[in-house]
Amino acid sequence: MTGRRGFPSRPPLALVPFALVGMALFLIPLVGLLSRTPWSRLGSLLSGPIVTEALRLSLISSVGAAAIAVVLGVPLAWFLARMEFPGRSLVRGLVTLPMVLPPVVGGAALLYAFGRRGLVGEAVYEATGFLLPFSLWGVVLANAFLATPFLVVTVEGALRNLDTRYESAAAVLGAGRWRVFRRITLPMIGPSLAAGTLLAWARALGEFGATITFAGNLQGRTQTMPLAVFVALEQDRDTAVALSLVLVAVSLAVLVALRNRWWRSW
Amino acid sequence: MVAIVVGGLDARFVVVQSSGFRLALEVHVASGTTVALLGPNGAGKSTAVWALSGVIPVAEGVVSLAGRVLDDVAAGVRVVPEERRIGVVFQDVLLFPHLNVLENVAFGVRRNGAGHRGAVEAARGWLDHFGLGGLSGLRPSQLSGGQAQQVGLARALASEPDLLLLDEPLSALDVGTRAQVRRILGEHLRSFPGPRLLITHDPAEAFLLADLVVVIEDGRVTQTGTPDEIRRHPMTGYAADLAGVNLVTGTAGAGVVRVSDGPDLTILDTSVSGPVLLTIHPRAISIHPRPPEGSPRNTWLSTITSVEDLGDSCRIQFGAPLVVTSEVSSASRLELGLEAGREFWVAIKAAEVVVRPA
Repeated sequence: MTGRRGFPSRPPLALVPFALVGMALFLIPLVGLLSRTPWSRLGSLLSGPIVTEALRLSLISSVGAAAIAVVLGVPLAWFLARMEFPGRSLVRGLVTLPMVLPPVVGGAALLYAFGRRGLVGEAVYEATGFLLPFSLWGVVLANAFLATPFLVVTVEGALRNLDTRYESAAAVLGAGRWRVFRRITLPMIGPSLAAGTLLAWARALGEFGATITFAGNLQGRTQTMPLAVFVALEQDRDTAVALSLVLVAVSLAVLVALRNRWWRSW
Repeated sequence: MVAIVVGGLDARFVVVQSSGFRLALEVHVASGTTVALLGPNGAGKSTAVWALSGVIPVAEGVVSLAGRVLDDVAAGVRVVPEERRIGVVFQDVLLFPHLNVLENVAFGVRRNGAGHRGAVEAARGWLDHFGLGGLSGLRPSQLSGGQAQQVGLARALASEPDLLLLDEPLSALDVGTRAQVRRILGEHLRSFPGPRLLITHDPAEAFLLADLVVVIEDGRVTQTGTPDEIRRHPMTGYAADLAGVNLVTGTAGAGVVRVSDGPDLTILDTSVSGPVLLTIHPRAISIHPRPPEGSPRNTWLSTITSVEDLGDSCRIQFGAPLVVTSEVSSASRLELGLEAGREFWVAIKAAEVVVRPA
């Protein structure tokens, strides 16, 4: 066995058992899930109304959240990467807070902001009768709240690494700021933008805590896949396993899509 | 004192970078002429490019181009890069990697309401003009250095600029393609009707392509003059080092270079043929009272036209049959009695003649 620099790497023996246990930590749950999968009934389980409804809601809310992440996150990332303004670190901290915040706390915060008695929600409700919580829009908002930071962090990094001389060259060639952004900046950070979008989407797909707190767990209205798994564990374990299997498959697909970015480059 | 010449570039400005580096530059380029900004690495040449392009701000001074004021710090004028109408061939060319050659050139076309199709048509015209039409569909990464340089030039010209600015256009090329690209560049430079500014660290490039040379060192102009003036009267050690170098053009074949109105010169490399540029360092030219014997194979009798005292050493210029400058110690000068009007034998070892394809 040769190490990265070409000389044999001899691991300190004390690390070996921990590394093996660490590996098992990730392997055993997956094997457990697969061993309990009712393979013969999988087709009928996945075509049941609870599963199809949850799948539909999950797709809508996660894609919607990813779209919001792109539309709001790219401009945010641009300002964080390119502009010097007072309180920039504060803004960056605020934007990335949902990455470390317990999602259930995020859901509660959203409720106090956009709920019927919330800071903004009350005024909106009285003016229009529109209520975000316990609606599909609420799920999208909760997902976007937790997913957008992943996009911002990825895209900001890409913008910082971009050789700005290309953008300067485009400006010197007569392109205005918007044209430079659209024709040069965006295409050049394309791979990172795609990766950030995928990460945000995957985060939204798995979102549980903020969704259940802010949007509730209404089957057919706000019950996404992770919520359906949670409910099914109490009532119908085979359905829970089938749903979980779908999420595992999706997660693996995301990893495969990102493999050039993470696996090979490390 | 900034006299505005219609059509030309008049720039007198100061740039102060966050690193503390300060560049004070004064350069005037008339329409239809080429000025070279010549200086060593770190002299501030790139800073000058980005300041003239409007990408980095100038701290004081005035820049005007084709009768338009681009920068006037005192008056609060600063024209944004996209409205300066400066065509730049950047040091690393900076072709957009995600666009093909045609799209790169089309990006530079100022579409006066022409729309996308008009821009692409114009770009096609420019590429055909350069004989690069066959490269249209290629990505920049698929081009050779010389091709990229020409596409960069086509892109700059396609923007119909008021000033053509070339930043070290040949430095990224290998020696073999350099001569060819220099020739093509020279042709296109001369056909551009506006002012042209060439940024370079290579004296041969500056002396061959420019009408006027501005020498910059350590952020300031140390000398401005025609290539001839700078070669004759260098004002700093750097300029003297550059300027003293003898440049001779001729046609090589079988180890001999036929010099236009001059003696044939023997060179070591017998494989080169065709037009060549010879550089001979002044200290490689020796002076003898009698015909020298032994290894120097290029030798002739010539009259001293001028002697310039540099302190410890001096520069001796010879006239016909070949104008060359030699540098000798002041002691040798006294010993040999080197004075203007006297005749001496000039000798150059074949090994001291540096040959480059022209």
